Parts: sequence; C-alpha cells; structure tokens
Amino acid sequence: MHISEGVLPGYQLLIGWGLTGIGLFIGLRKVNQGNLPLVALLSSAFFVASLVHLPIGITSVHLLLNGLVGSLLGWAAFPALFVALLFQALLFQFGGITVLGVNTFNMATGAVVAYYLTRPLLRKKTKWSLIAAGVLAAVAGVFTAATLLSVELFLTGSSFRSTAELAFLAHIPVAAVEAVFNSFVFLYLAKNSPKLLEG
Amino acid sequence: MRGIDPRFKIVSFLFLAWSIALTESIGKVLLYLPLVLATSFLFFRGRRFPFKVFLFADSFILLVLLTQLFLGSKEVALLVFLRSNEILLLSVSLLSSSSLFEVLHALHHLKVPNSLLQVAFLSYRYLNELSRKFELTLKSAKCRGFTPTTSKITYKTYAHLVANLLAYSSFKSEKVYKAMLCRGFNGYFPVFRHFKATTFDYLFLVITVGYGVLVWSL
Repeated sequence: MHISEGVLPGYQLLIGWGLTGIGLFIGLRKVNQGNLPLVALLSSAFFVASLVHLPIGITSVHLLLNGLVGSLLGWAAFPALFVALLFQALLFQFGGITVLGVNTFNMATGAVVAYYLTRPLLRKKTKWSLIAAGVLAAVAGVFTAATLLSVELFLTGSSFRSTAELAFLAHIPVAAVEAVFNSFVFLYLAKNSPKLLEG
Repeated sequence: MRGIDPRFKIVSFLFLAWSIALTESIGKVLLYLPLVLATSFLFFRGRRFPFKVFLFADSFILLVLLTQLFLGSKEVALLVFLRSNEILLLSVSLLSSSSLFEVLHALHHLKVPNSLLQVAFLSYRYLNELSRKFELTLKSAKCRGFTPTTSKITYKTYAHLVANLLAYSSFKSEKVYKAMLCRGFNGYFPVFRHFKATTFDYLFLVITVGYGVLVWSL
C-alpha cells in the first residue's frame, strides 16, 4: 500500500526524501556498468509482477514483492524500487511524487532487511532453506513496510490512529500470500536460474 | 499542454505540488484550485476525464477519508482530499502529458544523477517487452485450463510465471550488456530530439510559479 499525495506533513516528506537519498547513494554505488542492465530489467520485471492480483477468498491482493527484490538485489533494491515507484506514480498516478521519498524508503528498507536475512539461506539452496528464505523475505519485506507506514500515519496526528491500525492489518493477508509465493519463486529460480540467487 | 517543454512542466509541477503538500489550511489549499483547474482544463479539453485512474489512485485516500470521517476529524478528511486530488490533477496535466521518455530526458537536464536515470531509461525500454511476455505466458496458462482460485496451485502457477519472467530478465540483461559493450556504451544514452525552450515556456513557468508564490505568501 503506497501513501498518496497530500496525506503526510511536510517534515515527514522531507525526512523520507533524505533517507531515500542516502539509500539511493549506497544502492547506486553497487550498480556498475556490468550489472546495470540486470538491475534495470529486474526493476521492470518487478513493476510488471507487482500489478498481478492474486485471489484470496472473495477478494484479491496485489503483492508488494519488496522482500523478493531485496533478496535478489541487496542495496541495489533502492534504485530499482525507486524507479518502479516513479513509473507507478507517472503512469498510474499510484503513490505520488512528493511522497516518492517516503514510499521508496518504506519499501526499500524492507527489501534490504530481507536481503540480510535471506542471504545465508539462499546460499544453501536446499528445499527447506529456500522455503524459509521465501517466508522470511515476505515477512521482513511486508511487515517492515507496513510498520513504517503505520508509524508515519500515527505520527501524522492522533486522528490517523485508526487509519494506521487498519493499514497495518490490511498487510497481514498480503504477507501470508507473499510467503507462499516467494517460496515457490525461490524453488523455481534454484532449479532454472541459480545465478540469480547468488546475489 | 503537450507543446510545453517538459523541463518547465516538471519544475512548475514540483513547485506547485510541494507548495500544496506543505499547506496546512483548507482556505489556502482552495486558493490553488483555480490554477489547478485551469491547467487541467487545458489538458483535458476535448478528452474524456480518466475517472478510473482517479478511482485507482484514490484508493488509499478512500481509506484515510473513511477512517477520518467516522473515527477522526472531518476537517482533516477535507484537507487531505483537497490536497491529494489537486496534486493528482496537476500530475496528470503536467507530467502525464509528456511521454515517460521525455520526462526522464528532462530529468537529465534538471541534473538528476545519471546512474539513476540509466536504470530508469533501461527499465522503461524493456517495460513493454516484459509486460507482453508476462501476458503471453499467463494467456498460455489460461489456454491450458488454468483458472485462478484461492489455492496452492494458483499461487504456484503465478509464482512460476513471475520467476520465469525474472529468469528471462536475467538472461536478457546479459545480452543487453554485451550489446551495450559492442556499441561502445559510455554511460550516456544518446537522444535524437532535443528540447528547445520558447517564450511561451518561460511565460508558463512565470505564471504558474508566480501564482504559487503569491498564494504561499498570503
């Protein structure tokens, strides 16, 4: 769930841009001419994949996939997610430009957390380590993003308390579905494109 | 609106969007409305208003509005609704009236770091191809009898489709890298069409930014 324009106060927007700036600086240092096409193409692939709606009961959820991006790209997830969110803002008006800093920070922090948690498990490449990596990537990615979003809304004012709680609760089914989804993705990649899991 | 230099539109958008986002009073936010409506009128003249886009973009705002109306403050709900939709209208009129490639090219002129723009340029270049590839594989799965339901097989099928897309992206990126080396890529993407600012572009910038400064100083 991305925060829309006009919701957060100015100081949070500025802090969000500042922290994203730091993340982008570190992330872009990991991107060289050799892995630039990979980061860019994976960014496009995640943009496409994030538009997929998975059925869950009578409704459907769209996946965040930030944990998966982080597990494969590490700190380079910052520029990859920044670009994907910029495209979403420009093409679908989803999220926005003034909140791009905050939204990138929320998503990419979860991605980096997922990277450090899943790295040892992805190196093992056994069935259960890949499943555990999938679950960890989803939990770390989705809940870090959900927690940051809820904290930001909570800090916006006391009237946003219920919005913050609802926003956090809405992420629980997403994390559950994404845990299953990520595990299948890692199992598939280990068989068909193991190089991608090497980071 | 399409004729205006994208660099000027971006600067104008950024100034107005930030001014609106940082405004805390409903009265002041309403003062930006005439300018927002004027730019939207210029953009939407002779076109259908994209209600679907706004409905999709406002889904988070809907959550905020409902919780504010029933559990929070009605004034906050109105302020958030006005701020959000004014910026949204500006974004559609000023940014979406140029192609994504033009926006990225303009950002290059506005000194956005080149390495970030290279990622964006390449991502945009392959966005359609990957989207088509994904749709094709999904169509192929559906032709073979795949029907999405809340089941393990549905999640596994979608996961394999996405994983296949990631594997394809990795494979394609190696070919792209080799092609870039063959063509002597030096860190810059050459462009054939360059921007040329006109008096009208400067006039547009002065009017929009001037209006923003005027409202801000009130």
